[in-house]
Amino acid sequence: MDLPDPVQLGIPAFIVLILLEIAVGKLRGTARFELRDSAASLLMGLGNVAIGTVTGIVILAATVWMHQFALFDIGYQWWAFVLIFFAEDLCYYLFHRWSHEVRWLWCAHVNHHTSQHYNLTTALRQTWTGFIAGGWLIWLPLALIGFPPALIAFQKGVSLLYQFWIHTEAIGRLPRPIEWFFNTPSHHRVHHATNPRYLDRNYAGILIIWDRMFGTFVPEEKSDPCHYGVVKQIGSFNPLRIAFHEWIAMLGDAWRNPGLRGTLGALFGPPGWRADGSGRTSAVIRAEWQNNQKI
Amino acid sequence: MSPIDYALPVGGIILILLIIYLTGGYRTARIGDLDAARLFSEQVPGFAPKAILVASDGLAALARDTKSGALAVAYAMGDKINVRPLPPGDVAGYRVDGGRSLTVRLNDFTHGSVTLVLDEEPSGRDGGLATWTAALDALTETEKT
Repeated sequence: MDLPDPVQLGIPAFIVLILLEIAVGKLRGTARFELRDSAASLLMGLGNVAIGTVTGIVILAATVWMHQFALFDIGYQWWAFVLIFFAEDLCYYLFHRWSHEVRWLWCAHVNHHTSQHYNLTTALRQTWTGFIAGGWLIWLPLALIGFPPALIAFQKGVSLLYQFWIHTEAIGRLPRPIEWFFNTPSHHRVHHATNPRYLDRNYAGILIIWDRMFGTFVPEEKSDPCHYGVVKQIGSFNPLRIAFHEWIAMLGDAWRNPGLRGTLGALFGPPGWRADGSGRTSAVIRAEWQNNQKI
Repeated sequence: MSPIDYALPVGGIILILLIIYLTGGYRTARIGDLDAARLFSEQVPGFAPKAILVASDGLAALARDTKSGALAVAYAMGDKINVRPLPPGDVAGYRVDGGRSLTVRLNDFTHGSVTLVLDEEPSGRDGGLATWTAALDALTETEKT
């Protein structure tokens, strides 16, 4: 079955919606675009597409290879589209959660969080090093189960397309049933925020139900407006520095931390981890904040 | 992929950036316009900025907690201000240019140095240039040991 590439089809919509968001922001007096920030985001997106044309072939080849060992012959029945919708979204949740909890994967994912703005251009600030990090391996079991590789690739595209429109401050809260079931701009603003209350929460792709099920859901609070970016804000709009800064920092930490435990902790521990226990991980920052709340 | 598949994103990016520029999207924050003390105390937990040196162009500032001796730096990042504490190990060194500027070199791949342009040499018991360089010396010496 020939399935379209949703992201490729979505490019004209990306452009139109960004222009619409700029116009709405201007009309409301809430435009929050900065030229260098948006340029960095858009160039990161362009680089991601360019790199993806090469690495995508390898990932597809790996998926096809895995599919030869498929446990079931699922094919393209209507229910296969329903199943892959949920199965792929669960894979995305796991990938995304581990991308925040494991430094090695964080190195590839952090650049998506480096903008201190939250608008539709931020959605396109995508990784250049995802292939090296290997997060794509998390989807391979879907081929082993028996989902056709083209169907997996299609659903990954649908998920990426869905996640574009939620990167905006132009949309407030949506009706309750939607906010309960789906990932929305409100839920994803929380995910991009550095406020201790919001750190490392709301990992959802399309469905927020995974966060509700696994205890990582936090609602957006009006009393605690989101501040965007990363805990240690980066100081550059250069896409090369954005793409590689965390890899360099991680390798430096692996070199400096003493012993095998120190090295492995720097590579695969949570971001902010230090061998001497002085590291400020998300869990530490949240615990400090919770203690201050009690006082 | 056809040529239009490449031309569309590139053309779209140019159009978006042009519109952002034309609608006032090129902005640089100035620390001078803000309450510098509040900026540091809000963004660096436990830090009491008793002495603050703001660059004359408002693009950077240094703050010192005179009780603990801790330092923090702030610098413009587009229309935002980045604020960060400077623990030992984060400062690679500094350079004073005839009392007209103070450049702090950071061990940071994304922002290698922060320059504070000074119209006149700062003075005062807690705010003189010598007190700032002494505080920076303490950090770099701590790093050496």
